[in-house]
Amino acid sequence: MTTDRQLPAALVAALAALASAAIVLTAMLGEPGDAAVAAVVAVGLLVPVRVPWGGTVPMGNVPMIAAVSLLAHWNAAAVLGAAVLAGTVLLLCRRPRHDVVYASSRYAASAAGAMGAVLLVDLLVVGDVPMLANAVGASVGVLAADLLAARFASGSHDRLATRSALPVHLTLACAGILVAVAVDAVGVAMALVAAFPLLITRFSFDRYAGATDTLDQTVQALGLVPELAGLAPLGHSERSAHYARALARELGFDRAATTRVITATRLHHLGALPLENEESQDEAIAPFEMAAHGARVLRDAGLSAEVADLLVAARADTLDAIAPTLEAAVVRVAATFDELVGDDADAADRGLALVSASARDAHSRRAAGALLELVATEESLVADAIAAGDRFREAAVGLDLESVTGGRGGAGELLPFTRRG
Amino acid sequence: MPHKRRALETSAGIAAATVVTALAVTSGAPSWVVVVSFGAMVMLAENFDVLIHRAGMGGASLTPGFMLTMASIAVVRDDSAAVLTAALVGAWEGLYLPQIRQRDFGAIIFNCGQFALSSCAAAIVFTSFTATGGWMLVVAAIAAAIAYGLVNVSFVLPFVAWKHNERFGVVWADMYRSVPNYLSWGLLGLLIGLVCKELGPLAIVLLAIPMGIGRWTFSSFNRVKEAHDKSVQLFIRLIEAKDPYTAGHTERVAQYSLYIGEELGLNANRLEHLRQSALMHDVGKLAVPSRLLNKPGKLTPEEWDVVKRHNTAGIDILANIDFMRTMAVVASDEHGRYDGSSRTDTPADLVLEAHIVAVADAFDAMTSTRAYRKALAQEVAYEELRKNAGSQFNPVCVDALIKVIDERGERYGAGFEVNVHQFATPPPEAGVGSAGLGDLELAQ
Repeated sequence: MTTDRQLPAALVAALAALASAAIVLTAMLGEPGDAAVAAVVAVGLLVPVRVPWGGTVPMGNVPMIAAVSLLAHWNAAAVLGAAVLAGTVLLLCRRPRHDVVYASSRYAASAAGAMGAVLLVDLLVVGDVPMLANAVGASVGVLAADLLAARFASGSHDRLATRSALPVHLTLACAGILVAVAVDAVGVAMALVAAFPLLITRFSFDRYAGATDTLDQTVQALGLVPELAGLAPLGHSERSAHYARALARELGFDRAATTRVITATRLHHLGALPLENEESQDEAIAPFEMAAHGARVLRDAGLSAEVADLLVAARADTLDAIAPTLEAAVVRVAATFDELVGDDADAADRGLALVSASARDAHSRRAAGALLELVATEESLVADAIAAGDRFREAAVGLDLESVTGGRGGAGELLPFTRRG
Repeated sequence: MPHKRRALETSAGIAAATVVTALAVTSGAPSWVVVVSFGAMVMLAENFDVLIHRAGMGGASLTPGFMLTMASIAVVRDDSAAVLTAALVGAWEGLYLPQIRQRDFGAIIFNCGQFALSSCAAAIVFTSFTATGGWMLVVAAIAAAIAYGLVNVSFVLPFVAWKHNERFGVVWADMYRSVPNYLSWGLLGLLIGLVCKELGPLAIVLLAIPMGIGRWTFSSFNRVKEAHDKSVQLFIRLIEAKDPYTAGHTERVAQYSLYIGEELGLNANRLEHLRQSALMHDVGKLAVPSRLLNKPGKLTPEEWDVVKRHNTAGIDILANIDFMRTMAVVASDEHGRYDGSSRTDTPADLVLEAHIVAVADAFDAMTSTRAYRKALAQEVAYEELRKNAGSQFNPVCVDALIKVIDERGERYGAGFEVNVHQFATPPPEAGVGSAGLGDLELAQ
């Protein structure tokens, strides 16, 4: 068993016994095959479909929709109850306890949503309810309940993650309806065929999620290059990106805008790096020059022109500029705040005061206001950002990274500290 | 060989027209609803496809259109004109918009013809099985997919070979990777067709939505992958900017590493990881003081210690990022040395990759001109690698590199360099120095 803390053996045994009893009871009281359906729905909890921008949706939503559509209401309720219990026991053997609580409660909410929706359809439709209406109702119920549960059970109000999961939900809902219709029209064997496209879906989402993670990490690594060269304090890009992500969430940015501001924040020191002969450049570089050079580097490399434009607009690491867009203001506020605070959480108040006082335009004031709100409401924000940067600093203990470019970098100085090496 | 290609284009068109005419006379009218609805979907799929595997010959690819053609065969299976309907649906696969815009009518006639004949063959095989369910249906689906693949490859293989003036073997080596797709996509298509037949148009809608989302996901994946590749290229440019006299070094090390990896029979995934690791093998340089990296002459023991510590720290810092963790293992000196002290918990795959990159790195270092030494002759580099095989270098990797370079008839080193820099002070004929971490072992 691989749990974060050892669960009392008696609790696990009791849950396992309860789940087994529920499945046996389902088999005895329901139709033949109900226990098998419960087992399939239970196993579905263990098979996640990855959402490319974070989080997962259980594949078990598909058999859940089909079961609720096809079985009589009481049978369906018994099957889902047994499945959630059995799935929880199976999860306990594989995942940390806090994950199990979250995943199981989400799954239970989905089951309740599906049952509630089918009962509602029953009330609204006069006479015999077509199976298709049940299937569509169950899909909507699962979707609504899962989105709500994902939002509240995790304690997160990340609207971005919720919206991002919609294509996955839609795919699973279509598959669930198709399986229900196929079983109703042809038989159980056709359910396997109808569910086959799910494998492609899962594969494609998985690959996309993997590629997105890798790209994110490559940008993270690129953001570290100026720091390895001693042109910025080690951990600065990571901490700044942490603030930028929080600000984007607070200001309700969509996925594309969030990715842009995080990328631009991570790469805002890229322009400090020489790409030609290092020896010929030894003068200090102004923030605007650094931003323009960084944007040129990105464009030459064929990377996002939007991020390049944002770098120029943001002119991060300087308090003396007007932000033409809210995205630019977020990049600048995030980078500047970290510049002022660094790895000293006690400096957060001073950093906030400076960032707020220097916000001269509407965008900057809005971004600075959002940061004030965040620091006030999320106590761990600064500590988490510092922890994110610390993991890189540990490997460089005892090294003088400023010597990498001949001591021309001014790691730790107040703005503007960046010089071209 | 344009005349052969033209003859093949004409033959495919005439053969398909003859077969379709004969079928129309003998089996009666096709199911026009299926021909038009599936045909339109096939054409859409062909023109908005997402290449999962991009064939190198630029002309041989397999798209979801094939799957839909197979689905139409299952839908019309019991019709008297099933084969004719399948042939007409298949012909839509040849209506490829870029070729229509370029008025490449030869290619259009060829593709419409060969796709119609391939679909025809699949339909004949599928309808010859009388079973309506169970395992025999699966066998029928597999047999039909194979029939389609055989006819399709017999036309496309010579066409691509003649178009690109290549040997058949070379084209086949590029095409065979997509052969399993015939089975998987073909089987899936036939099964989807059976579902559509049973459930009607609703099934098409319910299947089309996930498929559309799947297509969007694949195309997004391609975009993200492209952005990642460009980011890696930028990373390499930043590494090489640290030591301008070694430009082109990382690309050559990646190329030699792939030579060795292919010779040792590594699979495609491992070769891709090896390539990326080789491109990143000098990543530790980013944290090494430039004055030491570019110092002409030998490093003092103190300087050498600083270089080692900074190089290791650079690798360790970047190893905190998940996707670079395994590359950091390959880049580390600890694992590159054959008689080094690899940690026992390091996977053998990664240790082998580290050995491969170490050999490739040393070969390029010796066969390139550096500030401290002119390029050595290829034979001298071979001799040096062989001398140190079993101690510094993995002998299997050394043998593999030498074998591949000799077999390919390639020449490197003195007199054969591609990237020769202008040095302020001409480098000596022989000597040791500090430029480039890859040379440090030789410098000791």
